Amino acid sequence: MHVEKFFCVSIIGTLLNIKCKTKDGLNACLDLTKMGIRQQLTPQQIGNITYLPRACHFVQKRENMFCECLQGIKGPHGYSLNIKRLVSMKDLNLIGLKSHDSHVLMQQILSMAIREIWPNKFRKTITKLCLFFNAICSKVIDSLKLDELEHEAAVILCQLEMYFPLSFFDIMEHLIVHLEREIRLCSLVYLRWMYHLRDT
Amino acid sequence: MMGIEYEKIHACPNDCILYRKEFEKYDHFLKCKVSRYKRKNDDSSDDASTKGPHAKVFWYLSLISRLKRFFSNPNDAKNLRWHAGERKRDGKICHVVDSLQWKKIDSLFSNFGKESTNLRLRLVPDGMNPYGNLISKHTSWLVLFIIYNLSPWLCMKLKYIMLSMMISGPSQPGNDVDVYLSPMIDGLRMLWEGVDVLDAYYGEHFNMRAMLFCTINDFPAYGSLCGYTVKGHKACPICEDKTCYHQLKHGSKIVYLGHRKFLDRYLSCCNLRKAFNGKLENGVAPKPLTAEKVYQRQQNVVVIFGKKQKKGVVKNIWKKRSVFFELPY
Repeated sequence: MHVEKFFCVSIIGTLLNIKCKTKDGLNACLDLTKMGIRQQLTPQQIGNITYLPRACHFVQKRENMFCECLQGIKGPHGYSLNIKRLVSMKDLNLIGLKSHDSHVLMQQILSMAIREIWPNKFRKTITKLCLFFNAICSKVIDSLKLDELEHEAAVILCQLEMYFPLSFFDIMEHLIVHLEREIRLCSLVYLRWMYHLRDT
Repeated sequence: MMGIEYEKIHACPNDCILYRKEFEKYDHFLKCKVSRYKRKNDDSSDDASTKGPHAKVFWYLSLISRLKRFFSNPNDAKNLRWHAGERKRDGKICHVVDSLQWKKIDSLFSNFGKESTNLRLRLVPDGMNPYGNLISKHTSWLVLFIIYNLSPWLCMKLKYIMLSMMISGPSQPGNDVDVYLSPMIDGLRMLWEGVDVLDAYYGEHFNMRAMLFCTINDFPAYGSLCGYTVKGHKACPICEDKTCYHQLKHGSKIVYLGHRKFLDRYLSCCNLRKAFNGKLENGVAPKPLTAEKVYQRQQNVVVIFGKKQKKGVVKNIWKKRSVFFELPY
């Protein structure tokens, strides 16, 4: 899914604070100040240096635990689980994520790998997001549960709005509220995705 | 190609027209004045003897002959009836048959819905780069078809996916993709009327009909297929006018906030101000557009296809009338 890939890239970029990929930064903090919210994140100027206060998705010097976890994963062949080769321990980065890699990350691995590293409440939201993607990608969905899923998507987005900087919210992030409607109209996601079409 | 018929159609390098039907014998298109053939820089004459190779060629593989092949194999012909017979019906969604659109089609066209052999196809246009890492800018477009009458474990198999079109060329067609889709639309119209096919499972001839069910695409392709602008302030095609956007000053980008609208009115976080954008949320979730409304909006859009003829077009979030409205259903 296109949406899933974009979500994964921007989440990992922001969590690991990868240069050029992260949605946080000086400009994001200035925007927050301009809107008059989250005063605790206002950049502070001391002398010639501007200091950015720590946001909740920022863990100092513990990103390597995340990367080590990804590096230790072993999985069956053909499940895109050779995720080891994407991890660069030197600059704590994931290089060359393909769409199926990010699918597997979002479905199973991400929610496991962030345990004990990020703060509890924040982690819960990310885990919820992973579970949401897992639920809509399943092979059988109860039609009664679809309403619940729709509500769930809105709740997740609202919680993310509280934690992440404003520049996180692209159009791709907005589109997950409409995913449930598409399932109702055109049935399951796995009948509509393009991974194997791209492979051929 | 193994007896399956295909057709090479020449196109204008600027995606203005296809050289078929009334344009068959033209050497260049009158409006954009670009020749149909590749020419060297100093050669500007229209002399037919110095024709080079064709500037842009795209392949159209006819759908009908391939569908006939499926029915001429008894095993495949049986598989194509799967959705009507062997399926479990327990109220859960496990196949496209359970979707609302399928049921709506059944109620609108009851003649079409009754026959289990009538096919429902899905269109998959996707850009790909045949050269991999060697050239980063080249994009060729493939248009594939998937048959949804098959069981879920078969319909995405390689054997049952049909290639219908290959649009070569260094640049992707974008909004002009309609020009290329027009031969396929003709084929689909013919399939809606019905084609005489031999069914190998029962050993008899019957009238096969097929329809385009829906499309799969990524978000930019969605924009170019349905003619909606997927960038800028009103980027969400489902919320359309009511897309909630916010222009960031320092980050200089547009963000889409305000998801509290989609929540229940009575949840406590609707009333939180500081945690969100500092305001109370009073809006209601926008209602998605219906097909009739989209048709109304697209009806009056005037569009000229071609890469170099974009000047003087009035700004509108709808860029064209989608080619799929020309289908009879």
